[in-house]
Amino acid sequence: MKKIVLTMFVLSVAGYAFGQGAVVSKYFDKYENDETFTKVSVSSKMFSLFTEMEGNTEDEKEFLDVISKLKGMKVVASEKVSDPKGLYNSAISDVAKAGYEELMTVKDAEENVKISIKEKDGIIEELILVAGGKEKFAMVSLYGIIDLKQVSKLASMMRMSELKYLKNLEEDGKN
Amino acid sequence: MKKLSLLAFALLLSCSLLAQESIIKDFAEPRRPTRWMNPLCFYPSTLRMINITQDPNFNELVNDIEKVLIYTLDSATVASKTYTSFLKDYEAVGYEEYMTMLGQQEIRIIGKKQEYVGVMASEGRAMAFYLRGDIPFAKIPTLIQTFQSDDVLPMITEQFK
Repeated sequence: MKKIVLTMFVLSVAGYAFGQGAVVSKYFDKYENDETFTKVSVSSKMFSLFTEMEGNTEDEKEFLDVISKLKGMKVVASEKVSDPKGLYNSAISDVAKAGYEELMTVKDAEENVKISIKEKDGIIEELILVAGGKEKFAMVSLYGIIDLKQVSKLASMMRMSELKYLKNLEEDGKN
Repeated sequence: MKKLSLLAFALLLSCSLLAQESIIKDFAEPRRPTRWMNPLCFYPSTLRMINITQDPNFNELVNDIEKVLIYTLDSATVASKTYTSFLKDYEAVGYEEYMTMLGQQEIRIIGKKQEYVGVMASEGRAMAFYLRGDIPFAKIPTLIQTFQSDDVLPMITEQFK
C-alpha cells in the first residue's frame, strides 16, 4: 500500500513538473534546429543560485527577489517568420487548450500580444506570453512563484527584447 | 591514523577535481585550431590583471573565481557541430543544465556545485570553457558587457565577440 501511495506521489510530482513550461517546450522542440528561431531555456538550477545572494543596490535586491522565486524560463522567438499570424494563432490555441487563463491582450497595427497565467490557490505558477507581429513571433514562459507587480521589473533588468511585452503588465496596473 | 585518512581524503578529492577538469581538456586539446594556440587559463590574479581600467565591479565579479579555462575550437569541430559532445560526459558525472540558448548563437552551460562548463558558438566560431568557483550571477550581464568592451585585453575581447 505504501508503495502504491509513493508511486502515485512520484507520478503526480513528475506530471506537475512536466506540466510547467510544457506548451512552450513543444515549440522549443519543434524549432530546435531552426536557426531563425532563438530558443532560451533557463533551468531551476540557475534560478536556485540566486536564492542565497544578497544585492548591494536596491535594483539588485529587487532583481534577486523576483528571480529567486522563479523555477524556470523558456523563450522561443524569431524576427522573421514566414507565417507569423498562423503561428500566433496556433500558439494561443495551444495555450488556451492547456487551461491557461487569459490575463491581458494587446492588439495594435504592429502586433498582437496575449498574456495568460496558470493559477493555483491564488498563486500564479506560470505566465505565458505569446506575441505575433508582421514578421515576428515570440513565446515566453516563466514558471515558479510569480508576482505580477514585479514581473515588469524582471523584463527591464534582464534586457531581453522578448520580455519587453511584460512591461505592459505594469502599464496595465497603473491604469 | 587520522592524519593518514585525512591525507587519503584530500588526495581523493583533488583527483576527482582534476578528473572533472580533464574531461574538457581531453576533448578540447586535440581540437585546438593550431598547435601553438594555447587555451586561455585565468586565476583570480590574472583575471584582475586583464581589467585594465581597474573597474571595481569587474574585480568584485571575479573575486571568488578559482580558475577559468577557455579553449577555442577548430573549424572542423565547428562545422560538424560536435562542440557540445563533451557536455554529455559531464552530465554522466552529475552536471545539470543551467542555461541553454539556441539559434544563430549557441550557448550551453551546465554545472555541478561550484564547477561550470559550457560552450559558446556563433558565426563559425566556437569556444568551450570550464570555470571553478563562485560567480555573482546577477552581475553576469556586466561581465559580458565588460568582455565585449575594449576595456579588457583585445586577446580576451576576441574570444567573446
